[in-house]
Amino acid sequence: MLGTNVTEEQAEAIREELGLNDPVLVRYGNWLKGIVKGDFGVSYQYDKPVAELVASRIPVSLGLVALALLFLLLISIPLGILIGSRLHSVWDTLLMGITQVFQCIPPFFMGILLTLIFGLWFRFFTPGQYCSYEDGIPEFLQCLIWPALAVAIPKVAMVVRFLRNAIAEELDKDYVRTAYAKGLSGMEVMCRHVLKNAMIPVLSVVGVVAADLVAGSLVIEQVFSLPGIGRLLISSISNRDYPVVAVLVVFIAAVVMMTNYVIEALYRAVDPRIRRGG
Amino acid sequence: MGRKAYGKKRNWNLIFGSLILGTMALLAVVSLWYTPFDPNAMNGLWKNTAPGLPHLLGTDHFGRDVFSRVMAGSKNTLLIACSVNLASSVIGAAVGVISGYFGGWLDEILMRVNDAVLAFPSVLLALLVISIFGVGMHNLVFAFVILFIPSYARMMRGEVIRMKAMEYIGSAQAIGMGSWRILWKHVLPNARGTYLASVAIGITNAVLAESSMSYLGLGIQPPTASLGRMLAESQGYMMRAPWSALGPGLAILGIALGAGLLSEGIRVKGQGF
Repeated sequence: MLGTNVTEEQAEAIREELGLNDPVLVRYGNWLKGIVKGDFGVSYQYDKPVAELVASRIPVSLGLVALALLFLLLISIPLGILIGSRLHSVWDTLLMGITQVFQCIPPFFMGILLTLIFGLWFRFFTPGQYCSYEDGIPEFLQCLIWPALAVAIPKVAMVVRFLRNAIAEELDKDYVRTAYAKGLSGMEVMCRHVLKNAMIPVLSVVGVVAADLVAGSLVIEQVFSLPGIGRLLISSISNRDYPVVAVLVVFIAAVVMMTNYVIEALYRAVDPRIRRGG
Repeated sequence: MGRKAYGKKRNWNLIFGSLILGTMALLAVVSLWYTPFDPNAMNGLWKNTAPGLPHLLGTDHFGRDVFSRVMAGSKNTLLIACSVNLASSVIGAAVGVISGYFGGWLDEILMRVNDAVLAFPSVLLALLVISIFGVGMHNLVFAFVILFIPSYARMMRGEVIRMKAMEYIGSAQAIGMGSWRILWKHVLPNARGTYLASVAIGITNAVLAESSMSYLGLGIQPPTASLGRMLAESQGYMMRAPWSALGPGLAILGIALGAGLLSEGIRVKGQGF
């Protein structure tokens, strides 16, 4: 904060001003008191209120996670149905092979691969370009497409494999034969009966994956230089900007807990057996 | 499930998994004594050269040999992944076995703590631990050990509870065997397959998590070669030297994929297919 040419007195004055000389418990108490009153402290490295700093970056991370979740559902559900109902077909073997490889690619390497192939070779987008959400939502989302894909693809692979097994298991059951016997078409059986039941185990995986998407997004922001929560956290850790780190840690933990809660609620909504507590 | 009736189906997962992971492990072990070039030696005349001879995977922006660095980096990554999984699986298995076998309030407490840790993705928790304890390799290993314990504990607990319902455990109790002897003689040997499969998948997870942290600059610190770190450094030179990103990236993929396939293979083998 003061640079390298600092006298001991100046350093001491700053420590006193920031309250760094107080005992740990007193500092923690003050911090908690601040949080309750809506005062999240002031960043050391930016000299700005932490609340303002974090708030300006939330939309970026939120957009990224939302888009990644959208891609996840849009890609993995059709693919899962496709191979789940055609076990041991060419498609199945092919997709199971591809997804096995893709689920082992860490999101940041996926991001680098996408940048290399689609950004630098095919020039579908400009690497490192970022459009602020203040300049228009469509442009903003367009800039987030590739980062979101990078986060989503490894998880798509995971969910597709899971959905395939869930559907295959449901298709073996008696009620499917009954449905066919009633004269329903394959499409109707799939949508009205099988999918409803197969979604229950899948939902629990999506819950875990949603938390993974949050984690992956924090990392991917670094790859695509997006000014979101993740980059703020990492630069704050590297620069020992503790007021920011503390608030972000609490914030991220809260987001993950909320995600879990929402999934739990969805779980109950989808499966009446859990709702009745049986 | 639609398998052909004749003969035994080849366990391709096991074969490919062992091959890929074995190759990576071999490269890592060899790097202890020999690498084609010094992984940290810079060479101004050979900056960003394409793959070929003598630099098999080319050189990076400092003229360091990518192949040698990949070897050294794989060694560090594998070392971390193995030590983390060894420690956490032993502790986790102990917690899970005790929790599952004895049940009661102990089980209740241990499993609630487990759930709390499991609710968070490992990269996220590692980030949190690192932000509290500071950056460094030892802290990273420590963080991962803590974070990996719960999944082992849960897996072993499930195995033990499943086994407890079986007759041979009841018979053992009937002939008067003590709890610890039953655990040691009957429960643990029967959980071996599941345990090994989880360790293999644990290595996949550890490799992915470690490389992410090193990529962010919060794991292995330079100049020690690390696959994640190499990817981060190569990003500025992607147009001129894509090989310096692809080399370490494919190495991470290789280790993770090899361990993943191996896990699947062990699991299938355990089911008696």
